[in-house]
Amino acid sequence: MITLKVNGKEHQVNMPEDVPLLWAIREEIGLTGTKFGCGKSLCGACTVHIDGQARRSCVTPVGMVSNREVTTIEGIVEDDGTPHMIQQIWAEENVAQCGYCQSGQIMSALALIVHQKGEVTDTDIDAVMSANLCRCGTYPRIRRAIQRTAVWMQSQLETSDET
Amino acid sequence: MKRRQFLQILGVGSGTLLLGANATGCLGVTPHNIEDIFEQKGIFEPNVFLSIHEDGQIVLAMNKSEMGQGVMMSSVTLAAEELEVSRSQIEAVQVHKSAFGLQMTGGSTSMASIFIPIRKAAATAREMLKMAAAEKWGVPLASCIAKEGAIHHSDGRHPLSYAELSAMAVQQPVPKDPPLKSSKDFRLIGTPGQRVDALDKSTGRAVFGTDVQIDNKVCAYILRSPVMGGQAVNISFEPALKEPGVLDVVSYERGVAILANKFWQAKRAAKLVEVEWGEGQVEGFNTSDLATAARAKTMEKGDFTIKEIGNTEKVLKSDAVTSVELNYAYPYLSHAPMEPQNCTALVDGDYVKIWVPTQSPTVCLGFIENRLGIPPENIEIEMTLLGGGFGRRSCVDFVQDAIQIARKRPGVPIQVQWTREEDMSLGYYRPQGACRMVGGLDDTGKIVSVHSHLVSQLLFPDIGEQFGGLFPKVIPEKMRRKIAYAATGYLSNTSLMGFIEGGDIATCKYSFPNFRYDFSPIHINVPVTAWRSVAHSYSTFIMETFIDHLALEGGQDPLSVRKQLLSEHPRYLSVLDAVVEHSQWGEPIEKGWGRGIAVSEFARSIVAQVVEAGIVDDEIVVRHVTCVVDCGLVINPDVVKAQMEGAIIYGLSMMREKIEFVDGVVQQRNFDSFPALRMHQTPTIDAIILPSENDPTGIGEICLPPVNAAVSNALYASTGIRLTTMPLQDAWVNRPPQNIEEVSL
Repeated sequence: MITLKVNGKEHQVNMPEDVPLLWAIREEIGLTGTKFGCGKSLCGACTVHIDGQARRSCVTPVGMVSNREVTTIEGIVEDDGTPHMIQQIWAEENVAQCGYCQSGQIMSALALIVHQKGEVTDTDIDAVMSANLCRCGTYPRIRRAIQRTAVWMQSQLETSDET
Repeated sequence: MKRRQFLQILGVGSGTLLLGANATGCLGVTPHNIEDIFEQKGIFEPNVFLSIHEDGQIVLAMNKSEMGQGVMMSSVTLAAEELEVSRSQIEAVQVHKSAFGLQMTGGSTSMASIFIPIRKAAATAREMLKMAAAEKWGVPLASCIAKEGAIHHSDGRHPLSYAELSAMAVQQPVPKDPPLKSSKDFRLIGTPGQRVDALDKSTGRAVFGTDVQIDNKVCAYILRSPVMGGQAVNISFEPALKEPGVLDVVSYERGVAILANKFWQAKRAAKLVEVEWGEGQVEGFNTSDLATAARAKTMEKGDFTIKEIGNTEKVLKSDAVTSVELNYAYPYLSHAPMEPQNCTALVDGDYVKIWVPTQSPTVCLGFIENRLGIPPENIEIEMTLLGGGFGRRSCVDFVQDAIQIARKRPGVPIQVQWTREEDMSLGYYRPQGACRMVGGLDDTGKIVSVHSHLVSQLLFPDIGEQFGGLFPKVIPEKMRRKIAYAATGYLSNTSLMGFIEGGDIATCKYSFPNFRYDFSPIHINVPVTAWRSVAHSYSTFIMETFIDHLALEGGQDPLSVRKQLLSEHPRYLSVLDAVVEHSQWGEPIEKGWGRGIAVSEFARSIVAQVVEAGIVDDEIVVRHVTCVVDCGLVINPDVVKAQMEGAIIYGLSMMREKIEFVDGVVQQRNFDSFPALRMHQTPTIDAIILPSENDPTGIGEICLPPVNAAVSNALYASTGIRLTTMPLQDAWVNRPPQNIEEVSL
């Protein structure tokens, strides 16, 4: 038995330690927002946060994440069900087409924006987001949505500095 | 739909009619049925598209598949417009209904085919609700107005909601020809808005095929022969059965399936299964051999002459005419949608249910009926969202996996999940081929002749299998091809062999005084099918680079030559003029960079692009694309722009993508060797839509075809090297030696 902490909740999963975290999230815990795309850390559809850092769950052994905080696309929604600002902006910009890769895109983008405290350059976006594939070609909108979310993040940080 | 009925519709003629069959015929749920449905379920369902529930909820049954192209948003927009409600008041569901007739999403035909039917369906409901209000109030119909989900009276009395009126609406006669709103009264059509599926797809709530949750579901991981099509000769699997969760290992036509409670258990246990494989369907096949043979064939006489104007041979013999020749080649390509193929099936006696992300439930149904001999009324198809389609999900090989495995465990839902490696190495593919283009220039540099010899694999060689489920076996193969072409909306010419495969070569509008298109089919057992923009993905590349090359060889401006040869086609001229206006075409550009132009038509829409490209560190870099499209009346401008961006990016991925076989084995198996375009390689894109009052035409594919041609033309401008082989990056790396100046960034 491995104890996993996903989106703030503890789960006991009965699986060997070398099974990718992705399958624990999808099949054992039943959260299907995180997607299987390549199985080799090439497409980023399975991106989740581990202790706040973007990680490809398809190549992360589940045994490595016990006692660490795992956050999935479902976990960034507010407790009252309100989508995270990045998700709202994603929707307003009509980023998603088929939508399959977007959970991974959002989780990668959010980690970048938080890490950079909202100071995100185009070069940062190229460097980090080039790890996430999208076959529908939503890249221009992903870029726009990240820029908007970054501005929001800066304003949040300024507000919290003042208080 | 009964087969006889299907054939009757086909008897009417063209593909447009077939797809348009829904327009009137299939709305005909009789008044008797409307009352029955209301009595049984309390739902006002005036036709196959719409139902209004007692609590006021409005449900729109979609006859099209949502694979990212935004057809859910567009369907809801059309219904909401005529029903006078907001988009958020309508819930759209993807369903398979026999009353819809042929359900197939492809060929960029959706908007053209649903623009009128969905509006009529909604207008029918609206008129019946108005009639109900008029009766209830005892007032003339003309004084009743539909607005914001209720019927209002001109005297300002308290309005009646659709929910309140539904019981009386059921009693009203169904109007035969309900009035449609005039375009000047549109509230939603033509106005940008947030996609109805945007939030679900940003929060992980959207349900794709791979996400379906069914009680007692069993998961299958399939081992495949290294050479596609090989079957297991010997299997040893005893150790695998001892692994946790593993239920069984079964051999079937397409592989060996490990069945377990969870997919991870099946996949893990697969390492303990040893299989000896029999001969595959392409044993020993090398794509490099095919390329050589195809190239050689292009130099010979073509097997079929598909189109001939004037006499190209005679013209080229004239001393006054200089001939210009380019040789083209293009590789097999995988669709590689982000969601690997999957399907879940339950087979129980003579009942089958599947849960599937598909572009065509009708094709799935026909396939199951033919394969298992189960009557269509016993087959249930539940549709999920599609994690990308691009033509790949019009095939049924993943359905075949699911039903054949499920058949071995009656009553148990079996979920088949492909890995990326299976998705990329099992086909279906965009065909490989080669083409020789020979042009003639007179002594003034004018283009007097174009001769094209295309050698390519037939796009639907196994149509009997792929779409065969739709037809009784007694229909000859040739007729099936014809019917399938009609059904997919492409048929506009009677010469079938090579017409579809010719794409832009077969249909080009350039008024060459002498033109000939010869076609020689490649017969090989590699599964191929339509890939975003079908034959245009290579044929527009060929036509639009060749015309550019001929113009320049003749000392003329590529844009002027195009306009001159398209002078009879005002829509082409408009997009060309607009793309020049919106880009910096003709203006100076920094050393090392070049601009290229291209124009194309697909699904009755016209596109023109200007691309800025150069070479940086031996890599092709595309930094900007200006794209102008005329796709008729626009339902959702932001959805159209997203399709323009998406098709350009999918097209630019072709600069590096290829599928190769070596000794029968596919070499590219994941995104490391099949390098789809990524964020840092994506150019800035200006997407411009020309205003139009014409009915809507296609948008999902149109912006892909010209982009590689425009890139090649831009690189010719910047480097003087003409790239005629795809993928372009390989062509660049393998270019003949020459001194090139690179761009410094």
